[in-house]
Amino acid sequence: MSKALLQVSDLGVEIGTGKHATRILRGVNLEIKPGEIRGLVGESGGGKTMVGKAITGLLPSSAVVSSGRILFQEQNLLELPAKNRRLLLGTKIAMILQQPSTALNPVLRIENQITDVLTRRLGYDRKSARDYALELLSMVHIRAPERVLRQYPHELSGGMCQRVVIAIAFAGKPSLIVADEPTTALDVTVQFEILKLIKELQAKTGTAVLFVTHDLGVVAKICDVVSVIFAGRILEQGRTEDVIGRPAHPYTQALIAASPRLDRPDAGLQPVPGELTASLWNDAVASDLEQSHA
Amino acid sequence: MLEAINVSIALPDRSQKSLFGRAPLLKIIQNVDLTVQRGKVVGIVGESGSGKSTIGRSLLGLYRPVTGKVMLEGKDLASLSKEELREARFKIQMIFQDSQSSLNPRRKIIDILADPFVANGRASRSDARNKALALLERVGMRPAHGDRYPHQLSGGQRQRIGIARAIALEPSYIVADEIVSGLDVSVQAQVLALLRQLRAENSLGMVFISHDLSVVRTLCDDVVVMQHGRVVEAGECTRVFNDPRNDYTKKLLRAVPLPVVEKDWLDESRRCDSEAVTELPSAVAAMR
Repeated sequence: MSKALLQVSDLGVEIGTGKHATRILRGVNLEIKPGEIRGLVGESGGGKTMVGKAITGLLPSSAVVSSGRILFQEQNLLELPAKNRRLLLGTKIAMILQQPSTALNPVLRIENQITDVLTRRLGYDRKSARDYALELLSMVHIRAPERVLRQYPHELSGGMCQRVVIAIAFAGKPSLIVADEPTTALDVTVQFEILKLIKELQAKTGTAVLFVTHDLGVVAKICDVVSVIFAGRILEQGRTEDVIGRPAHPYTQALIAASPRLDRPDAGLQPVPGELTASLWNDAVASDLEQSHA
Repeated sequence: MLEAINVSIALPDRSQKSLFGRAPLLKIIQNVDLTVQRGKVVGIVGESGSGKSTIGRSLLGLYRPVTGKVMLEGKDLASLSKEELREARFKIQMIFQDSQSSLNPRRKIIDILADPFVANGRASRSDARNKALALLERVGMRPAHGDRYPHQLSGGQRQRIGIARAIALEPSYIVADEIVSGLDVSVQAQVLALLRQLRAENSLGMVFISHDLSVVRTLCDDVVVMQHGRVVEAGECTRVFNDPRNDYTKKLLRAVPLPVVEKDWLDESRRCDSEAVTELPSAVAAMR
């Protein structure tokens, strides 16, 4: 057993303060080992994006971490001064976002967006930054890197933009990449290419990935281990083949039963029972009350 | 029967427009054939920009075809007078992808649902209200939801309202454009169940436009695969999904990640021909 690269324990996040506080995350425990792809799967409002944001330190200003620790390479990120935390981003921790077109700055050429990270964080000078940028673009299999460097995001397709974002994410050879729904906005054949690319680069560099998604199919194909989140709580986690193949938690079972199946048109599409989600929410709220009394 | 026969649509390409004069026409879809029978669901799949939505809109007579025609129960939509077209449009309704922007944010649900009756002189205001309440019930919502505004409903509930509004005037055909794309799987399952129920109750003919092949596979009877504005393959769902003949269809099917663990799925060299769908025939046999 290798040591965890990232260990999130008992992480609680609230939005707002005092009486109006709403709990978003309730005691989340999550571990990522070096070089592993950890899926985090759930429906909207479950808190999966918030976990990624808490790890990267990009929580909205209204959100407060109310409990827990985030140990990254044995350092509690929550105790780091904001400046040091920011310096980790782009070097040791990187992000890939859902909308490639909005992740890039629309008024800057691709060249400047890539070299920005290289010169600011990674100590490249302008000349060598350009060379490395070209190398990065070839690494993500962009055929005409010279031309793409001169282009603006709107001149590129969604898949191309996502390749550029991935190139930027891998530029600093980070130990961890948080990928939040990186293929959701893409067509299915492009999704295939991007998943392949992420897997390829991940295997080559040994980077660990937290792969946040709503799509169990994608999880099954790319993740080594997976955590299922609902109402800000991790309901089930384990090796992907176990969680998808033999789900233990009723919610995971319901989620799988609700997914339409290309291979089994007669199966799938069973709505998740309302009583199940209601009781899960009740549990979550009950645990909040317990905590506030304690 | 609702039919598109050899339909081509061209729209002005504004990016190529010179300062003066008209923008040149750009062909969006070419020579598309499509038939929807009442009680059947026809899926249109393809990637973004393949012309799926354009063909959907042309079925409602929103675009004038450059070639070919759209026939509703044997009549060419383009040949109808304004009044006849108005009548014809009661028979074809549309449901949109973005339920948020397709409902007026400043009006209550009950008023939104009463509108179709009033606007077409089918009912008085108070009568329309009752009909709207009945519609709410048909799509599985409570009367209390009628007093809310669109932003007070969840995405799935709003999409039900979109469906309720579309079926208000008892249309024969519905064009549904990516209506479950923004929904979670659990909500998606509910909305699809509702569509199935309505189709059975009213023998609705439906055109279901979607990029999600798994949803199309479970809901539709027939499917049309589009690429670059052309139909590359069409036929019964069972046939197209089990025995795809076109390379592009094969590629699409291969790229769909099934929730089944497969370590070397991303390894393309492993896959040749229709390997990815070998599990299908047995599943279909089991269904029969």
